[in-house]
Amino acid sequence: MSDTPIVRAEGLIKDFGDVRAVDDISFEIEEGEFFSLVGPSGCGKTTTLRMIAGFDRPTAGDIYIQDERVTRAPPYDRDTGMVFQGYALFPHKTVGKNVGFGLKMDGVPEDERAERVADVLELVDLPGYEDRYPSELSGGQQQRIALARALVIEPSVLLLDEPLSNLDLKLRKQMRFELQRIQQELGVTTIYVTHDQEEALSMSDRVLVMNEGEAEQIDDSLSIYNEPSTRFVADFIGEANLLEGTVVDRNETGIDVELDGVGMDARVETGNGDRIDRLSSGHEVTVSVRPENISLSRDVDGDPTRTNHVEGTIKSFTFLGKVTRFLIDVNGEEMLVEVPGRAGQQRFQNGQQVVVEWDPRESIVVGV
Amino acid sequence: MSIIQSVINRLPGEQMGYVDGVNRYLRDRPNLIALLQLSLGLFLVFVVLGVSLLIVVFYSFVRPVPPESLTDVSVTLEHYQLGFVETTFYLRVMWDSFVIAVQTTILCILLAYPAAYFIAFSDLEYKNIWLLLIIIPFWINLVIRTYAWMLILGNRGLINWLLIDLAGFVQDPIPLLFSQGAIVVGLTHVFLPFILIPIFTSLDRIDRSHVEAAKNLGANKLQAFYEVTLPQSLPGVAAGVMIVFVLSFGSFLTPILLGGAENIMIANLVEEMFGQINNWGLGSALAVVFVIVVLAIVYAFNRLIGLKELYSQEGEAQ
Ligand SMILES: Nc1ncnc2c1ncn2[C@@H]1O[C@H](COP(=O)(O)OP(=O)(O)O)[C@@H](O)[C@H]1O
Ligand SMILES: [Mg+2]
Repeated sequence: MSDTPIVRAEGLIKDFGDVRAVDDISFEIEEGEFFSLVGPSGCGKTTTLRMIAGFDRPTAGDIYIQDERVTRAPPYDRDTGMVFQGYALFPHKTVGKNVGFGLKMDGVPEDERAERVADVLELVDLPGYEDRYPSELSGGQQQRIALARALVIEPSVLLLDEPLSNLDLKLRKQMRFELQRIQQELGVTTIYVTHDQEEALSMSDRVLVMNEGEAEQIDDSLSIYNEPSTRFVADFIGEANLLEGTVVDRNETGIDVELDGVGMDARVETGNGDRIDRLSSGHEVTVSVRPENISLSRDVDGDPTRTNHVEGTIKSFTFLGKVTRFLIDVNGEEMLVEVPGRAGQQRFQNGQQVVVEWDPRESIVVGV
Repeated sequence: MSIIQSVINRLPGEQMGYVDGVNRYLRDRPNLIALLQLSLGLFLVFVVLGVSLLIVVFYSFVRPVPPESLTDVSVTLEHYQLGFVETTFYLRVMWDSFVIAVQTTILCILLAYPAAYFIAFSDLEYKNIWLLLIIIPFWINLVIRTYAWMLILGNRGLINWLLIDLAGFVQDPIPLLFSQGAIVVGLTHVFLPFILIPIFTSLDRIDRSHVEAAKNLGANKLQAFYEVTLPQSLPGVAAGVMIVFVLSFGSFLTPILLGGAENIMIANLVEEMFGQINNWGLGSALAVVFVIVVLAIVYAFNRLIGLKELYSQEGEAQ
């Protein structure tokens, strides 16, 4: 069972006139997996989801749901349950009729329908709401009803298009947990579309990062964050200092890179997968360092043998509670540094000379 | 200095205070001023429309009509008795008019709904222009358009020419003109835009994701239409039905031109009473009953449909 993917996309391409909205996307989603499509607005996430649901027909490529080729099947012949960005609740039907709609289309008799509707309303924490109209519900409640309506038909795959984007911040965070709870409780295979990388990382088993219609990386959340495979992923997921440079030497444990912009030699000991092995002297690379992996010290004249350090000047800093963010001028380039705790702010001031330093294992080659 | 100002200036102190009080009272109540302005408008409408209607009601209950002086009239029900008790003729005409109006309305729905649906749900770039293209012919004068139907339906008209001379299906012309059918066709032509536009508007406003959601949940095209599109377009249909029904029920010109002497409608009768037979009392009684019948139908229809319109308005609020 678990070795056949629930959803398989092969080389999906979608053109709208001259615009290529989706450009050669392939992936496989296992049973029970929470899979996210994340990327900036307009990168083709919705279009990909709509092709899976059957609302847009791929220009090329194939879609399989439970090993059945559905590329050209109409939406009503596919076993998907979709939650639309604007919820798309039927305004002229009660909550009960909305949620029971899929069952009615399925020919489920009325009393069984009522029972299953009541159960799923319980699941989304809105029991007894059958007789209300959608217009009588808050945004968060409408969202739950839309979810219930998609879940009650027990689809092979649940499709969610930015389901939380219309909610305010607090509700959004709350609904994140709620969604995860329901997904895990039912074990339903889920494809989740969002432009919010934090949302994608926190909820998903695996994430597909999209950019301009193309897949940049498919990986589990941790790898996406710690081992971004492209410059775009490093930049889009979380924050990163992206430093351009040239490989000057390599040995077993890593490579030495001359970073031209910030004017320093840096040692890099991780690369995504086998990438670092393929590099040798003379290769142009981009090195990514997360702001929280960089430390600051006032000790300008410290141990000259330490690796990956460079002098800079504090341009500005912002106290953010848990961390203090510094903008450091390093030989004309700006670097972002996050220092945890109160110490960060008390020890430094604007215009001060500091040493910027990071562990070779905390930097990564993201672009070649 | 304005006259009002000079009058105010000459008022004794006590009354001055009163004027000031009124001014202050009005200043503190902007809504009241708006209400006063509004009621002026309503008052004019009432004078123009309401009073003339009242005169008709008055005429229908008195004798002689028109009265020679206000002191020399007596109240009577004889006009109603003449119109609705002693003969069923007028009621029959009213029933015929009702049937014509219903048929016209149904035909209008059958023609307008698919057209509106096609325009609203197509990928056409300039939907409004397409709508305009359908509606432009309706700017041609009503009389001319109705005459066009005489040319089409007449014994030597287009249809009979096709049937007799071209196809040879029949020997003698089929009597198409001067029938209830001809009136219905003519009225449908006249009132089509009045229902096309509200239906189009309500269809165009439907969120396409509702239809997609229905399909996602297993509805085929027909089911999605029946369950989602149709109910959400009913307010537009209802608005159009209301307009077409009321206008065609009381239509005057079309039955004259296309119905001939045999097929008259209620408005023609009323006109006859006032203009030719000179029986204003009976004419007024017919008019009053007609207005009451129309109002009753409109009321009943709204009670029936009103609920659905309520949903759609709530739906928009979200
Ligand atoms: N129906 C359409 N017609 C034309 N272009 C479209 C259509 N739908 C989407 N696009 C284009 O395809 C691209 C991807 O859109 P979309 O999938 O909605 O992006 P996302 O959901 O990631 O924001 C965009 O450039 C968008 O303008
Ligand atoms: Mg989108």
